[in-house]
Amino acid sequence: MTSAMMQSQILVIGAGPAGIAAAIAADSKGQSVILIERAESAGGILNQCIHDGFGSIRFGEQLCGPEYAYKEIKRLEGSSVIAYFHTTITEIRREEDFFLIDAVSPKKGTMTLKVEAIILATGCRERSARQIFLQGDRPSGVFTAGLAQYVINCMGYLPGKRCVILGSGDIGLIMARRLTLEGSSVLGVYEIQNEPSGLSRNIVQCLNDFGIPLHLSRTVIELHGKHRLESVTIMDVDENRQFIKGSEQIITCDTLIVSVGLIPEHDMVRELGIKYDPHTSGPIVDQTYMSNVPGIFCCGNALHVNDLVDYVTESGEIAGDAAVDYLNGIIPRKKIELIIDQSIGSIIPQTISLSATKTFTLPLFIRSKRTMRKSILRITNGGNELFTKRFNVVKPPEMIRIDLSCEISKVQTDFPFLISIKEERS
Amino acid sequence: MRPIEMICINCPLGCQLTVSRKADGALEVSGNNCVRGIEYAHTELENPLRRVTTTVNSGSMKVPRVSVKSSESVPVEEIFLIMERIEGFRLNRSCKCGDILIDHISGDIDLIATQDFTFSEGEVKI
Ligand SMILES: Cc1cc2nc3c(=O)[nH]c(=O)nc-3n(C[C@H](O)[C@H](O)[C@H](O)COP(=O)(O)OP(=O)(O)OC[C@H]3O[C@@H](n4cnc5c(N)ncnc54)[C@H](O)[C@@H]3O)c2cc1C
Ligand code: SF4
Repeated sequence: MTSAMMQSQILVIGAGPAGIAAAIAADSKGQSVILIERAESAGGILNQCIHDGFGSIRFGEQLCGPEYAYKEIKRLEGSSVIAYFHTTITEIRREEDFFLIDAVSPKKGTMTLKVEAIILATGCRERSARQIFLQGDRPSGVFTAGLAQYVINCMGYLPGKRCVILGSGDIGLIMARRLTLEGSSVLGVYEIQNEPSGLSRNIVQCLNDFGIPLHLSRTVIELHGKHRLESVTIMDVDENRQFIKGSEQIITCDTLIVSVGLIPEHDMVRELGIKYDPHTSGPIVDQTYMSNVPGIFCCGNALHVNDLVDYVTESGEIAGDAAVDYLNGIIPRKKIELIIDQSIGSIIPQTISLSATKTFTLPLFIRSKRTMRKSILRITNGGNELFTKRFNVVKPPEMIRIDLSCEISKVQTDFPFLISIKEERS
Repeated sequence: MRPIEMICINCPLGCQLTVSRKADGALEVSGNNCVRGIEYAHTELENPLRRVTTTVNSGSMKVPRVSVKSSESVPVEEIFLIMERIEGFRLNRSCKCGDILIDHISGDIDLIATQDFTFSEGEVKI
């Protein structure tokens, strides 16, 4: 079988909201763009998120996930982006100043693409039950929250009748409501930390509305059941996350839904020499969302896990625009590092590249490490204060977005930017 | 009435509210950082409204479910009523995102498709 050879300036991998936005942004500036998606259609994770709460920033209304996807797919269909669905990338090779990509699809067979820039928009995957430490048997009836969501919303099956939810991430909370509406009984949500990791809105509308208890500082430690799950052991933890002896309880259930976090997905490009940030688990990027490998950009959940799709689309647009600038030879000069202290969980971007412009404005996405009230966010550079903003409260589940504007003449380019949040004493 | 704890969800602050009813029947709200917290406590206690989002049986094997929503928000206790009415429903036809699939599912509320769906006779579920 011969392999078709194709050429384009930009390849976008993944047709979720991030990839769609990136492809359209680059296309609208006249670049040739190929979009490759391994699923049969576009929309990504939005297709299974049938609940509402998407798009309030971009569209000013609360859309359901598939409705947001619908709007974006219509925009994609109106562009000249060439999209290949049901297509798997088997290899990416980096040559001198271009990339060669092997891909295969049932319809087209094998093909090789030659492109000058790649935008990764592959989303994230879920931490599985195996990645957290659970003792005991390995029965069936253990699902990640996203898988349970797919099974119910897309296949129309109920995973089980009596469910325990481990972890208070948003998908777990949303599944607590979904299972209840479909007739399962949800016995409780168990969270090892002393505060929920999901949004307040989801605590109220997914748990409180239905009287589902949220147990903080309490976790599942052991599974029981030969074939199907029969029960789980739960246990309390203290402030240092040490188990409290004697607090064990056994709960009879046939299903455990695990919602213990998401990790950006990029197994496919591990070998290209991209540097990763341990805080976000995504690539280290500058404000153009380009990684340390020239020509490789990243956006959406592949860059860092987002809770708002509006920001995902924005990040796709930034990466799409920047990839075009890169192809046009606009090369930033000096890099400044953004360094976070103990108060901050993660930041995007991690570096800023200074270009020839006199001023710059860029969005920064920051997650605090813990909940802090009456606090102040500060950015300093060589002892000078560049930015401050006060917050009544900051919470880890709710990402902070700020616009940082600077005059380059005022920046000491040999010093990093230091970012911190402190509680103010009243 | 015992004081009720709730979280205001009108803005990302998520104030922890405590609501109690005074002897004259009026509600007393504390913990809010702005007036919207008081309004929130009132609607939440007196008539909490939610959008119903769920799926219906498409009648097809390839795409078994079609996602839907209620045209407006409904009182919380009406959610299960709507779920019950959806249970026996089978679409068995194509629809577009935004189409009304069941009109007047509850009072003036319709059930609306939130995705496009193409029905083909060849894939009918038995
Ligand atoms: C359960 C859940 C609930 C959420 N709720 C809300 C909410 O209420 N409001 C809100 O605003 N946001 C919400 N979000 C957040 C937001 O919707 C997501 O962060 C956003 O959709 C992610 O978009 P993405 O394009 O980065 O990734 P995805 O949508 O995951 O898209 C990635 C795409 O890449 C494809 N892909 C992956 N690997 C490859 C490969 N090797 N080759 C080809 N293609 C590949 C995948 O098939 C997929 O289509 C929620 C997210 C989740 C998971
Ligand atoms: S009371 Fe006001 S400040 Fe507090 S969460 Fe509600 S809207 Fe926000």
